Amino acid sequence: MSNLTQHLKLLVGSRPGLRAGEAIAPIRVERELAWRRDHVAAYRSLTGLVDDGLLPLLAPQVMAVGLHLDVLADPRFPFKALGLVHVENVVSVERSVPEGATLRLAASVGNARPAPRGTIFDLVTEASDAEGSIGVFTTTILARGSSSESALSEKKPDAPLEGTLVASLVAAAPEDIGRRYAAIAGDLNPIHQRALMARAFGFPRAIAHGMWTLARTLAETREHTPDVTKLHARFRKPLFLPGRFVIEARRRDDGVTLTAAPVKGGTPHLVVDVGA
Amino acid sequence: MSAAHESKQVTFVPIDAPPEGERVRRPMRFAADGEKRGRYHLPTALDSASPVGFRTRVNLRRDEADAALAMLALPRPTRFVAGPALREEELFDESSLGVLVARQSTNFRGQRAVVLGPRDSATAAALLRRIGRPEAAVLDGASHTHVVLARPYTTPFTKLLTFIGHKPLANLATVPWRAFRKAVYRDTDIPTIRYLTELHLGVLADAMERAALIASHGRRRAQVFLEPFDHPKDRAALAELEALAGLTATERRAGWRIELVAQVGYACDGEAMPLDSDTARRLGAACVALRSERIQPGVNAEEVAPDAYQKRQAMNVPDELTTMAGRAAYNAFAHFLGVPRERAKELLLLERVDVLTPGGKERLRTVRKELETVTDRILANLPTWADLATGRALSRNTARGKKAFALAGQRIYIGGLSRGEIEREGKDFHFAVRAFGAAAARSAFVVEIAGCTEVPDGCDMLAGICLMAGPVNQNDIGKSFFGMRDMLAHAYPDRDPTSLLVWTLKAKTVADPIGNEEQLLNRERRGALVDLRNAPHEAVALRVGGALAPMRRAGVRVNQERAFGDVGNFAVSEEGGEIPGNRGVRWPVELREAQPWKGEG
Repeated sequence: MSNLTQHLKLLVGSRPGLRAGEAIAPIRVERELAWRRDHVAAYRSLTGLVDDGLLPLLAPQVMAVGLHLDVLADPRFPFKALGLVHVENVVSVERSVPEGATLRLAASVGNARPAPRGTIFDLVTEASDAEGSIGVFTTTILARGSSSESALSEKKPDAPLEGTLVASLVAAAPEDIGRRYAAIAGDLNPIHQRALMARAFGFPRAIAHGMWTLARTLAETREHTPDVTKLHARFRKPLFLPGRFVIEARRRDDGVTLTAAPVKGGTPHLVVDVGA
Repeated sequence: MSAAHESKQVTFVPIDAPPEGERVRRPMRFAADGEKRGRYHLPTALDSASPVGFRTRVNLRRDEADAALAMLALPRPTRFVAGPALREEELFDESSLGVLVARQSTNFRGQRAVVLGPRDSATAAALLRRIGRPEAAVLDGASHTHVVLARPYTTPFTKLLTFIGHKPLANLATVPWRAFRKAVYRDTDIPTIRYLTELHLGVLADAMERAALIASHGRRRAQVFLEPFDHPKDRAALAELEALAGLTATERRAGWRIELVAQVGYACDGEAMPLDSDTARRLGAACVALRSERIQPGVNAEEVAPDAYQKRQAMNVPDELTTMAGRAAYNAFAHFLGVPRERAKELLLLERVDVLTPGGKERLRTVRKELETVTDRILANLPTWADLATGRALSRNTARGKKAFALAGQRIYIGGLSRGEIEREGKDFHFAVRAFGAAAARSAFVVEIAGCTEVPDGCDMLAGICLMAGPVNQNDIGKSFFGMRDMLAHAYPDRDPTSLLVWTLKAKTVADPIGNEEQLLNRERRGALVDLRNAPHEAVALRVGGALAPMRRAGVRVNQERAFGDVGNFAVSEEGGEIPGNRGVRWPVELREAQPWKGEG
């Protein structure tokens, strides 16, 4: 099934939501997939990653977009896909694999729990190959306003970031980066495409894919996170396109904190704990 | 080399710090919430791929200053020897101290470089021999070669000049005619505008010699060819060199030409100047941080400036320091122009104005008055139709120029050359102007190094310098259009002088506001008379495998590394707060450690 068809399926039909204490029905899809070398090169070019001959850290999760769409399009999935907000990502990778490797990818959904502004749940991607497990990528997603506890929507103030600043730079997010990244990643969500389409979903302009922002941040700060295998990323605020943002790395005793934040300051778009 | 051409050693001269109570430094703070941000606040962010960034002077040790000054008396290299293949990061460091660090008042986007590897360098050497470079020997075995292209100096100021010096009514025809000639024939309104391009090339030539040494920890030397490539008999070989540098017909039409070539290679025994890694890195960071110093506390600070700029400091520039600065200038002029050192002293025309003496004060007043008279006459003669059409922008900008020509410092030098004397010496005048630029830059470097060595606590520096072309251009307008005489005619009435630059030396402890530097790094605050600092991919291209590749651009990624950033001399607030984006990040290790011309050497 093409990604476009999958996206169209997400647009139709109503979803009941989830009542308090109710669990999401277990949905799991699996597929074998591989990115050609030119596809990996295009991904690297868009994110600023260096060609090290290996499959990029976040690639398995990006490769699994089609599986994610299958999960979200499943009639048992309780939420409308459009409007879901990607809030966190936990990555735990055991080993790297060469670019062009064929991966066995499995996507499943579960662990729904109430959150301040709705219900959050995890979309888990497991990657493996003939040698065994490669890693697990847990995407935490917010379904807004669908929880009886959504009244607890007080936003916590930002705590000052700890650690010694070791890198700080301003990066560009071009106007067309959503479309270019979508062509690589297969995530055609209209909020990333054009301002006009994003406005239909309440955003003043198109917003960058969180996974692009994360990959871009990791690419620029690789000097300080050379062998990252574990990270916890929190997507705090949309990055509107076109835009410029400050990427920073702070070294802590037990790891590194990365941020992607507005140039003018304020709530970061993204906070990543590496090695946590 | 004959003894007559030998450079004299330049030695360190300490500058006395004022008593503790008089020591002040630049206030470093961000604007508070709701406070209007000005040039005295730290910038809110740095969004630039330049290797420079907002830096503070490196407080050098005496031995480091000695090493820096020892570079100012080196003879030209006589041969290159084989050495290890060059890494990309060495080229970045070298370019960051050369074509990418347009500093002083010489900042304009009129220079870029194509870097050739060993094989292409051998071809370039053969072409240079065919072209014939009498200034120095063309060397074999270069590890790489910088081919520097330059274009005519064009800024809003040069556009403004189009409207100056016309007769009433006739200006309806003469203004468009001059604009046409400028566009088509690259005419300049006044001679010193053409000289600016030459001066900048001289400044770059001097910087490139140091850049090669510092980036290689003293193992590589540069052989710089500065004489203009404009002899008709050289055209065929020059065309081949242009092809090697990838100069296109479109670029030629835009005025780009090969103007300088620097061969760089591993120095032979006795010609290297070994520097330990720490010294080389700190000197690199120090060079990147050097800035023009325009403000003399208590003399020319704005009323709104913080207290640190308002109180006069009881400091002076030691005479021994000006002697050493002069020595460096003569070294450079003789070195690049290829004349005996004593002859260089005769050819360089320098008028010294000691501002702290009654005679010096009077002389300074006269110079200022003459420059203001020129401004007044420009304003009186501006074509009204053009001024009205631009919303009085012409007259506003002209009047604003008065501030730019403010001459302040304890010691001021007006420098220039006599065209007739240079030509009688058998030298091309434009070549001599280039060598003059190198001389000015090298003398400024002496003061700047002294000004950031053994700096006591509570001070940013002990002395700085500003090289100014503005007063000379203004004087040139007076000469060209209003029948005034050259500034140097006062000191050299019988030598038909052409003034080229003004040096203002300032002993002080507080550095100029960071807002001055921000004009060069913040696109939104781009100054009218200065340009943004270049990023590597904008100004440097490497020729690899016959194709040109911009330095440090890979996909969406461009350079964010600040050169010699490991030294850590970044501007921070008094509380330690960093300017977002200022610290940068190193270029990926795989790319910076790559050898662009592996196997060619």
